[in-house]
Amino acid sequence: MTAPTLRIRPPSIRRPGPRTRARAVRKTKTFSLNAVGVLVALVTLFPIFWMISTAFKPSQEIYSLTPRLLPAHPTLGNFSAVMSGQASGIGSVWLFFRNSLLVTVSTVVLASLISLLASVAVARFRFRFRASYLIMLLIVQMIPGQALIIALFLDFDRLNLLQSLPGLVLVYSAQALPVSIWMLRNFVATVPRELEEAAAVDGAGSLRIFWRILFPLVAPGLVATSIFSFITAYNEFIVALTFLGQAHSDYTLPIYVTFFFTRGGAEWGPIMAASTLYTIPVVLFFLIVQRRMTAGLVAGAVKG
Amino acid sequence: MKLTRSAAAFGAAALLAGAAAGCGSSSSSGSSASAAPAKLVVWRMGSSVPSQVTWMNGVVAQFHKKYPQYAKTKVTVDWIPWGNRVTDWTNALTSGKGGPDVTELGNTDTPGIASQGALASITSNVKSWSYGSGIIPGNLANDTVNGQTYAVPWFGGVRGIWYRKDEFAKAGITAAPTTWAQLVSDAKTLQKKYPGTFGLGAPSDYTNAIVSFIWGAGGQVATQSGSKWTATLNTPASEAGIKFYADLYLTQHVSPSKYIGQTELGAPGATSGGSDEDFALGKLDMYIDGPWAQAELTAVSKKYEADWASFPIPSVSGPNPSPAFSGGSDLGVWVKSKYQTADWDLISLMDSPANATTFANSAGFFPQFTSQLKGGAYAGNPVMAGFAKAAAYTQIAPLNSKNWATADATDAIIPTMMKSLMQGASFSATVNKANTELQNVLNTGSETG
Amino acid sequence: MVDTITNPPARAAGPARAPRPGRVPAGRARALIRRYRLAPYLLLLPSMVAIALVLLWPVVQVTLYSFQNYGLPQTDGAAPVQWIGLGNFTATFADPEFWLALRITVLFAAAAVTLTLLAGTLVGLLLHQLGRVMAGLVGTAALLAWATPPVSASVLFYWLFNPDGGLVDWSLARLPHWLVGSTNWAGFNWTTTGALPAYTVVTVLVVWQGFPFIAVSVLAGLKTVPAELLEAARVDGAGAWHGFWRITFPLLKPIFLVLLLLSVIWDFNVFTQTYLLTGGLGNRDEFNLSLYLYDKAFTFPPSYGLGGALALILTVILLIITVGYVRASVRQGALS
Repeated sequence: MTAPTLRIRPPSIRRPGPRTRARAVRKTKTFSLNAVGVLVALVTLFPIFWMISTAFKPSQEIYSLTPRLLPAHPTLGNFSAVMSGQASGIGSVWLFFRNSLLVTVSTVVLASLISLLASVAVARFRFRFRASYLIMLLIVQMIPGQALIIALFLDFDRLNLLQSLPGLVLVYSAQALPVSIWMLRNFVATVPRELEEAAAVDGAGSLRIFWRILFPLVAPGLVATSIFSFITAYNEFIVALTFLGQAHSDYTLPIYVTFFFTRGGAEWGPIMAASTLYTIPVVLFFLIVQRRMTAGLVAGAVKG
Repeated sequence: MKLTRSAAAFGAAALLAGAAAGCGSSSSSGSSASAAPAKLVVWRMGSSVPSQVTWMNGVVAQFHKKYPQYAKTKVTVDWIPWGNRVTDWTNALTSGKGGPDVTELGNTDTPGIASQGALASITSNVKSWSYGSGIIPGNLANDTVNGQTYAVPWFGGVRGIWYRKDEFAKAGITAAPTTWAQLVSDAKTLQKKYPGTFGLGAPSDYTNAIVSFIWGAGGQVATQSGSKWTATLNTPASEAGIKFYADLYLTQHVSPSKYIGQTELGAPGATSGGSDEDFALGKLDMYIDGPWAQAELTAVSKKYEADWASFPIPSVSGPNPSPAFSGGSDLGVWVKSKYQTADWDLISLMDSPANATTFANSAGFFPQFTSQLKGGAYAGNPVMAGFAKAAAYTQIAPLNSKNWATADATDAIIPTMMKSLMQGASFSATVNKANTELQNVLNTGSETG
Repeated sequence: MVDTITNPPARAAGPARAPRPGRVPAGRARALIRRYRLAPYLLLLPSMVAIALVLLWPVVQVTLYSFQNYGLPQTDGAAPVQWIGLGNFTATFADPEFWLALRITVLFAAAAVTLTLLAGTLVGLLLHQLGRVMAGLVGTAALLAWATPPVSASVLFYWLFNPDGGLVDWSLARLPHWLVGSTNWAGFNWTTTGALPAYTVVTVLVVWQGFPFIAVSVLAGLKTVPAELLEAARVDGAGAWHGFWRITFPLLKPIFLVLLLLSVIWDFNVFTQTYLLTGGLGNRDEFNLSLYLYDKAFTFPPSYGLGGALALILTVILLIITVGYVRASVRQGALS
């Protein structure tokens, strides 16, 4: 679909000149574009490659005076140190995987449900405060987490929700809402009203209409918004850092990775192994859903 | 197809959400106020070292045996990186949750943390403790605020300069330097003899060593009259010490630029690569730290372990060394702990002369009991010998003043000053600015306390 | 694949406009609609409650704290809460560290935004020109950089730029002299020796993670530019450079405006990366506003009042930028 414009152009308006020369120019252009493309891809991928490569190196290679691109003697030692909990001293990486998974999935569910309801209201109804509500969403999503963290810390302390995963889920869900609603309302709007009206005429109740007609049709949109809430919850740092404190067993993955990054005497091998493991799920998730991400990638980047 | 897939995801997600709620509620159980706690949390500072884990297991076994009512009490040790301790205490104190039952404190932290109401008074416990009177009196006084005792000294130590006997011998240095001129010339000699190494590490974020140089030139950080502190960083003597330290990097070039902004253990809040590692790996010839560094050094490399030795930080013109900062750690009972009796019982075992001495010896510290320090116990040990000499000349004020934790751990007045000096900032303006800040912070709230 | 993206982000991914409600169906549907009078408010209720409690109420509280002496003793009632007027603000404005942090924040945002937009636009243009396979390759690479969690990326860049064994110093030391190569780079400490090197690393990191979003958005915009327009310009003898400035850029201007505002907002707020790369809160001369705020509120002794004042200052600065963003969005019909 990105065919060079040269080819689409009808022959009649092609500039005069020997065909072969035009072809040669085109070839050089394609070649140099591709070369730049390869270069950009390599530079972009290199840091990730280096993280994975380091994760498989034994420590004498990591600190060797001449770094090598690939491990000469690949080892799983860094990964086993991370999985046994020996590297961090606070538990196996799987414990923190479980915590992050619980938080992320709960956030995605909660945020999707709430934003689906709200987006139906916004996309299907005209009501007095509709425009104000939408502008409020735009403004609210810009309030920086650092500005809220003081009050959230003191409030969640009173609610007894510090050092707990449900506390994080509440904050993350609310943080994901403005963008989720903003994205989802467009998907709801594309569902033809006639379907609902027909169902209503057939005597279906509104709840039934919602679940049987609307829900299946906006499911792709939900996937797109889920990506956004997934990223919000899986990557979040400052709230978890502040809320979790020394509750090691409740650490989410980012706090776990930084915990043993800041712990004196830890080594780069296990740290890179841990951040590789932390990165893999989100990268896989991206690659799997990237066909669905069309709109999601773009709008979902908000607050990335 | 899309529908079924996302519907399935929803189902699984809902199950997980239920599980999350369940796990949260279960953790907030067991708040019985009875004497036998299910769990006691001890906050240790730094990073976990195997020998200290073994030692702690031994103490816990004694704890269970000596106090049968605690036989089922689990003792958990949480290791707090030094750089995080202030934030962690602060948040635990504000929230009243997630705090320790017993905490280790740097002895410079104790007065400030205690006056903020974070520690329970243990005055009567210490008075009735059979070993209480054996503690070095000055160090116990350090833990006393307004007549109340808030912590007991656990171990102490002083910083000196680590070197390698083999390097000194090959470079033709026959005696440890006792003046600053000798110290610099030895550092240069070593650096020339061992290309690619640096002579003497001078990290900028290293208050506890920098003060030794201020004192070694005859200066003071601050002086007190009545309840009023006067900061004295900009007196000629103090400035000489500050300038000497900054010049180790700036004009003498015996310390690398990468230590700017670092503590002796590397970048604050980041792992690996500090002057400690460089010394262990043979990339740094002389390294300022206490004997306790041995555990970290050997963890990095044991290659040169046999040649490690120490000497006290010299003073400007000798022969006596600079006064060393009398550092160390205390143990205190967290004010919001529900089991303060059990906390004290545990502390009394961790700090019994026998256990405290085993601990100190294994970790490179000096125990805090006068009885254990007598005699030439450390003369035969090349690493400890230099530090034992340094221990004869110590000072602590004003690092034990109530606001020191704010001045140093929070506002980082001396580290920030040293860093900008090493970045080339104007000397007297930078020192004067730090001096004003220090005086303000030290006198904060002095009218009330 | 990235190249299947069709909607410009500025339109918030709206594939079509919402049909205007208001047509009245016959019969029983009327009953439904009557009930629907309340329905939108009921549907909005959960989101309003969540947003109000977690996002709006804290702003109100922080605003109140900023005029109080709120600190540790006030949290447990050991000392009374006092209103101190503008005390927290005057204290903040009198602190040279605040102005340093503000300067760092602004300069960093300027550099990072410019470079991110530049790199993103260039890659977007490249993606538009590449064939399917190559576009897929570049797009996937960009996607991976974007998907890497900030914490992973920060730790990874810390390692790349590490003075001990880091690849960057090793490579710089081996570059030829005419290309800044020098052995002085060996063991160069990027992260703690000063704000300039530290924020150089943060900038590289932020650009690396931020350019894919710009590239994809620009690409989506480019797809809406009619090929005939560019063709006409080419026939008129305009080069690629002129074609871009005369045709493409004016058409994509609304998208660039939104991208610019979003980037400014994000880069003004960077916390995770600066917290991890400058050594926790250990280097005060490398604080940006976020770190300065966090330090005031959460280190000993905590001052929630001062922190609140800073939160308010930060929010006001961002709201001013946000107003621009909202206006740009509304002008593009995002509310319809």
